[in-house]
Amino acid sequence: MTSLFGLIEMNRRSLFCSQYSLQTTNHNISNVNTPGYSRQEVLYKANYPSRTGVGILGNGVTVSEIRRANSDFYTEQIRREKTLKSDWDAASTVLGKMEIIFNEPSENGMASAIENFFQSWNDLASDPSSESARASVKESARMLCQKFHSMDSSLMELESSINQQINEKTESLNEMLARVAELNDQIAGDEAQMVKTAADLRDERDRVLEEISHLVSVDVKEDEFGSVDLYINGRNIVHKTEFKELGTVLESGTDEPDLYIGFKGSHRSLDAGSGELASLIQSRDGYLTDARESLDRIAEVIISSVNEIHNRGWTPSGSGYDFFEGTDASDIRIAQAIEDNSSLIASSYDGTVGDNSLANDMVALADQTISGEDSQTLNELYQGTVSAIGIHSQNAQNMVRNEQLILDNLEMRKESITGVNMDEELMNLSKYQQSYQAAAKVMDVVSGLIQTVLDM
Amino acid sequence: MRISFQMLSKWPLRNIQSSLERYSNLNIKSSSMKNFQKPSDDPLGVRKAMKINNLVKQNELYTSNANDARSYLNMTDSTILSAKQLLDSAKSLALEMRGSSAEVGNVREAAAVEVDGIIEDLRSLLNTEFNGKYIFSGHMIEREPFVRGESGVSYRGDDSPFSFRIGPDRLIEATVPGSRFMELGQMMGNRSSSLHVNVSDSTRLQDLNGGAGINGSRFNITDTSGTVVHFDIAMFDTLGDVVDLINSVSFDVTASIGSGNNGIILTNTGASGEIVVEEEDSNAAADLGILGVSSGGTLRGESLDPELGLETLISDIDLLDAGVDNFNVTIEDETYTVDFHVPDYPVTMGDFLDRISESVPSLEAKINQDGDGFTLISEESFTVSEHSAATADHLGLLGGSMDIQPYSLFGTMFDFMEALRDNDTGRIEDVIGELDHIIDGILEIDAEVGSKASRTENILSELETSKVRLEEDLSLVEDVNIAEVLTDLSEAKVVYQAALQTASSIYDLSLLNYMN
Repeated sequence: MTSLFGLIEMNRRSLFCSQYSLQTTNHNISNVNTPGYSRQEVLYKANYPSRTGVGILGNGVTVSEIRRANSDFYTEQIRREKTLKSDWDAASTVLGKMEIIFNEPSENGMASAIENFFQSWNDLASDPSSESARASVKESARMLCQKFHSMDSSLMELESSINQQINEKTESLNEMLARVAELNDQIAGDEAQMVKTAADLRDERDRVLEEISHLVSVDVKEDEFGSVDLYINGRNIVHKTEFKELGTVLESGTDEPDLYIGFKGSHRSLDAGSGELASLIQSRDGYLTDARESLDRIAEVIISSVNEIHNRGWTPSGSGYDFFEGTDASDIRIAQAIEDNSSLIASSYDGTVGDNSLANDMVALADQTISGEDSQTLNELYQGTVSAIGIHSQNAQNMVRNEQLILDNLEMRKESITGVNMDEELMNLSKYQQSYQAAAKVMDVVSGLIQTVLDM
Repeated sequence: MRISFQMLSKWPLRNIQSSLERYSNLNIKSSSMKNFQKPSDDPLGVRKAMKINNLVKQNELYTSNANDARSYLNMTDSTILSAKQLLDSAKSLALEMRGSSAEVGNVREAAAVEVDGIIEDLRSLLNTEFNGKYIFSGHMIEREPFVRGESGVSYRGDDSPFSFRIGPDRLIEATVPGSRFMELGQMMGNRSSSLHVNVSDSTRLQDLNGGAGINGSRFNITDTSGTVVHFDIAMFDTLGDVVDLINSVSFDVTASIGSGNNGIILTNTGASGEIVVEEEDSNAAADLGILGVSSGGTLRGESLDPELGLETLISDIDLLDAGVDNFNVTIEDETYTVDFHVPDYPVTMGDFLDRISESVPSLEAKINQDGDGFTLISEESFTVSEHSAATADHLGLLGGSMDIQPYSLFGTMFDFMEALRDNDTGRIEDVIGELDHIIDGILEIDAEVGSKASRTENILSELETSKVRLEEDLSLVEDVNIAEVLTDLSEAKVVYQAALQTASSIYDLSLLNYMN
């Protein structure tokens, strides 16, 4: 059986459905530029029909669902690739800074300083009794030491800046984890009550998850209530509304403690998998440490091989004087005795003024292969260090580019599903406007009908 | 595929970014003209460039050293040739002076003065300095190598040449040590053992202190009673004269010659106390070895180190004073006996050496360079053997002859000068022969210098060639191909512009334009 007021009710539903759609279209249009926004659409279905004696009578329209365009597959892919990209990005940044510190090829780099040092010994060999040639040897040695110090301290600064970043990013990671837990609560709550999908909240959560995956690689598992559990390398970090806070852990490796991430309050470090944090840690312990060790090795070789020769030399106060003091790049310096008195710089083994054999031997050092370094010379050792940084850096930059291309592709596919197309929304706008107008017209007619009845 | 609104802006932006990046990189390349600015731009290229740069620097270092070496060698060569000219003129003078016409008058005296001048010219040549260094002094580059004393010119440098590094494993010797000029000529010889000379009354003052003699002449001696006696030995010749002079004064000091200390001994003959000797002008007392204060009443003078000279008495020479017996010399398949007893036993060193030289043809006996022994010299090889007693062994001459370079440039010139002063024709003849050896000797040295100089030239041109090649290689690795870069640059600019234009045209279009 039908009734006039039934008609009004059906009409009312029609109007509201159109309004829902208009509202949703409005929402889509308003959010056209919102990053991470998934477009929403209202899905209708025919209302439950009534049974009549003469057949099934339709009952109008009802909203079945406000659906959020879903591309969870792409969302997860994008997260993974973002993690990788951030990983390479961080490495590339660190390596780029290291390239700047080494500053090759150039006239002002370490290679030049080493060359000038040996050149000054050659000048002394040509004029073994000259005061000014000795002063020049001292000066070039000083410049060499200074170069070592400044490179070493720049690398150390880079290391502490990396550590600082690790600290800061761990803190922001914690904030994001807290936010996920909060959103879990809200989404689960909303979806439990009645709402099929808490679309905007999910968008927000996806956005936070993407931010997190910049920093670490996370595995996301959704449970049947709409909450997500997060795992880092198999360790559970977020479970429903609870999360474990992360902190930084000092692990004593060599002489200085190194910074890692771990659960707050724990003394054990956590493997962060990939992502910016992991990459910072790996770059620090890998590329940066390697470079510092190479630099130290080069300084050590210079100190020991120069001293070995100089010790056998003749000075006005006897033999056995070291030219350099110190053990590595941070503390290499000219021996105090020579600083005070540059006539102690030896150029000969036997003291005769014109015997320049020691100075000539110093010059030959530049081309000598160093024992224990597979027949590389001093210069080749240094060139190898610079070259390694260059290769890693180039590689990192290429990987970043590659990841960017992959990401662009994936994002395009996701956008294709979830993105708002203005033309589409505008078409919808007129569509729903018309259906609203039609429903209103029907309302008009029905009112007239009722009026007719009332006038009877 | 569905296009969303955000894609409309993101996609063109990406393209704009990437074409801008390309354009910007090409811009940097074209303004720096280098293929890479940092290692990651081209790690292998950078490594290669660093290596080549290093090789270029080394090449420059070696080139500069080789140039220096060449200058020293050229300087040495021209100095030696100038010396040769002086020696040539000495030789023609000797040829003039050997004749009997030169024996009369002051001809030879005058020639001696000329030779003196030649000696000084030679000395000044060999004391040449270059870049503030004495080039004939070996490693003692700050010390004047040839110094003139009373009895000759002595060498104060050492034997090591000054070297330059001209390659990773190559050193070149760029100077000639002056000691080479003290050992010229290719002869066969036999050196005696060291002969120690004792001082005696007849030892000449000028032979003391290794031939340096006594510097100054006045000193005083104070005896234990305070008497000061002044002495002036300017007019005296021998040590005996000095001892007699001191003993002639009646004061409480007696002088004698000590065999133990090979010097003077002053003994106190008065009250107990010490004798004091002081200088009054230069170094006379010190050179006599008696400067200072006695101890226990006796002043034992220092050793007077007398030089072995032709005038030295055999009786003052150890190894000879006990009497020398005969020995044999076999030369050119004939054996000759050197007889010291017939006609009479030699008195001086000169007599001794003459006896040997006269007994054996083609053999000469000379006091050696260091003044502490004698050498038998010949152009042929020879063997010394015993006659009856073990004399040859005793003197250290037993056995066959060896290669020696017995002639010293200045030694011979001094001999020449003395021979002229002594009007000794025989010695002048000897000098002519020696000068020939000496001139050949220095020409040999000059030839060595010449070949080193030409080796240095070769190395310089090798270095030049490899420098050019290195610079080409560097340029290939490092420098941009200008034409290519500029073409790419303008292409990139066009691409960038196209991207910008396309992007702007897309934004205009939307359904809004057409809906009313």
